[in-house]
Parts: sequence; C-alpha cells; structure tokens
Amino acid sequence: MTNKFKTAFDCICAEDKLKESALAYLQDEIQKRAKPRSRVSFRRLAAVLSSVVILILSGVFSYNLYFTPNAYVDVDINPSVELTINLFDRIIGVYAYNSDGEDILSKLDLKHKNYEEALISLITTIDKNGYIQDNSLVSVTLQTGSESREYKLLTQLEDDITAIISAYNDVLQADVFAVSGDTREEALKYNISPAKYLAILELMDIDPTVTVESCRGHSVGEIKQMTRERHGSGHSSDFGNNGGDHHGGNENGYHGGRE
Amino acid sequence: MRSEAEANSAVEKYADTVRRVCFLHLGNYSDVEDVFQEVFLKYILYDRPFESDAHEKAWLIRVAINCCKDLLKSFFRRNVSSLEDIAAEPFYIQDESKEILDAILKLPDKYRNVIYLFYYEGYTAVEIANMLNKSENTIYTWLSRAKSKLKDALGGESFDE
Repeated sequence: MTNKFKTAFDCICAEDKLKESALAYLQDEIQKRAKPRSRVSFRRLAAVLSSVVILILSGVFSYNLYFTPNAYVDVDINPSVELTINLFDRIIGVYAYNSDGEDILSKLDLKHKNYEEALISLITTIDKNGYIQDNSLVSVTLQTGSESREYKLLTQLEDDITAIISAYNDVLQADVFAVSGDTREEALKYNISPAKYLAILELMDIDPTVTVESCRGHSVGEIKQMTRERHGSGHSSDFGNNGGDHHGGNENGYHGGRE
Repeated sequence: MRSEAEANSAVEKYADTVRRVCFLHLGNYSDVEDVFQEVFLKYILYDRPFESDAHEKAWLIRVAINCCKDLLKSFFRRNVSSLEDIAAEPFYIQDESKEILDAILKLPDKYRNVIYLFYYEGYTAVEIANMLNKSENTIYTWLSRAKSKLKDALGGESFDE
C-alpha cells in the first residue's frame, strides 16, 4: 500500500505554468528589493510634506467617502434585510424590511464589519433563530452603480453564498443576482426586497389577480413555488386569502428605521 | 536575500514537493499559485543558511503547510473539493491512484499532512512532530486515526507493507 501511495503522489507535480509564473514573480521581487534607496533630498522632503498636507486636507473627504453608500446587498430568506456597503467593503447601514428582519438585526452589530463577515453572522443568526427550514431559498441581490464593482462583488457573493450553502449539506437553495437601481427603487416603494419584488412580478405575469400586498407576507421561495404551480396548472386562485403554511413575518404597518 | 540563481535552483528542486503540499490543502489553482509564490518568496528572504538539503526541504514543507493554513483562515476559503478543481492542467492519474488521492483529500487537514509526510516523504514521527510543532504522541495518534480512516475508505488494505 505504501508503494501505491508513492505512485499516487508521484502523479502530482508542479505544472510548468506554475513554475514559470513563480520564477517571474521572484525575479521581479528580487529586482524590486535590490534597488538602492536614494538619499533624502529636499525634493523628496517637499514631496513628503505635500503628501502630509494633502492627507490632512483629505481627512474630511475620506470621512465622507467612508459613509457614502457604494452598494446594496439584500438578503431575503425570510427574514428580509438590506446591508448598505461602502467603497471599502464595510457595512455602513442595515435595514429590515419586516419584523423578522428587525428581530435578527437587533441581535447583531454589523456596522463597520467587512460585508463577508457580516453575511456569515447574519445567516448564522437567522439559522440559530429557527428561520431556516429544509429547502429554504436564500435570495441575495446586489445593486451598485458601477459595472466593474458589480462584477467583483457579485463574483464574491456567489462564492460566499455557495460556501454557506455547502455548510448546510445542500438543504438550502440560493439565488444570487444583480439588480438595477430602478428595480431596487421600485421594490423600495413597496418596502420589499428586490428579489421578492421580481418574484411577485413573475407571479403576476401568470396570475393577474395577484397583487404585491397579497404576496408581501410570503417568502420569496413560497412566491416562486406559487409561480411554478400556476405555470403547471394554468389557473389562478385566491392567492391573497390563502394563509397556508405562512413563514413570512408580520409586514402590516411595519416600518423599520432606515439607517 | 538569496540570489536569482538560488531562487531558480530552489524552484527546480522543490517545486513538486511544495506543489504536493498545496494539493493536500487548497481547493483551487489560484490559491495554489498564491501559496506557491509566497513559499518561495519566503525562501529567498530567509537569510540564514540551511544545514543541509534535508533541512532546507523540511523548512520549505513547513512553510508551505503554514502558508496553506493562513490562506484557509481567510473567509470562505474552501478546502479541497475535487481533483479536477485544483490543477492548471489535469494531472494524469490512474484510477487506483485517483481513489487513493480522493480518500486522502477527504481526511481532515492534520491527518493529510502526517500521511503525506510519513508515507511519501519518509519522515519519522519525531521529525514530523518537529516540523508541525506537535508532540510525538500526537503524531502517532493522528497517523493511527488517518490509517484507520483510509483503511475503511479503501477497502481494508494494510498500510504497513
């Protein structure tokens, strides 16, 4: 068996591409570190002093920049919450769309945390408080004004949520996608997450009797299930009056503070 | 700082060893590339002389294991998922070897290290204990548990041939 181990591991070798990229990297590092340091000159000193002055003057600007929203990540399982993220990937605002969301946020202190760390804390707390069932759908949307930022954050969110889902042995499903500013604005008018808003629109396409108000108390997963059922059966029903196995929180009249 | 010639020589001599350590711990090629570069960067920045080639190799293995651990500590890094994810090009592996490697990759981190170091690199438990900063007893325990898990996974063959 020991020989079989050796045979197996002998198959694992450093790829040529790997060695080449490492050698190029090391060569670069050696050259960078080998450059002689220049003596301090007046010109250099002046440059340093100018930088200090600029830094001091930019202090206010940086403070404002820190608190400027750069992206919005909405997590809707139920509970339904929104995280406001700045340019530095830090949480600068949290908002609950429903009372369950408020319940969860009251148990957490997410401000100024890195958004990935905040996501772990958020979903872990949602789970600990019994909101996650088998086949719960985790809907995560991202809205940001820049295409490159959207690409970077969306890629990372997909990886992060996939990792979280895998820890639940795949009993959770996840939907991670970007939405436009217009979609988010429309969703906000109804005080629901973009994912729920889009799910309701999809249901309304099939069943015109459905309204946002009749759906808001249902989770995104339930709304999508309704859509699948109606798509299959080809009929609409009194969706608004069907309390059913209702996992949504109490949305009636809830208006959590937006921070 | 070591020279470019020393860096080239080290990469040539120890690339496969460092690659195997990365293989045991890292889930994707991008992470492998990062750790691989970092290990050899640390090598060229390490000024003290090595007592021997064996000392040099053991040092590199230890650094590689620690670099993998540090990378995995960051948020949401996944451990090894499958053989297909972790190479730039496919490794050409026979079915029997694939089965063995898959079984090893399913072991907890610490067991993978000791199995690799003991059965492939040929280090003693004492040497492994020094490399991993653990007691000799711990290494024996890990080896025993790792062998037991592998025996179950691979159909009961003995390891100590």
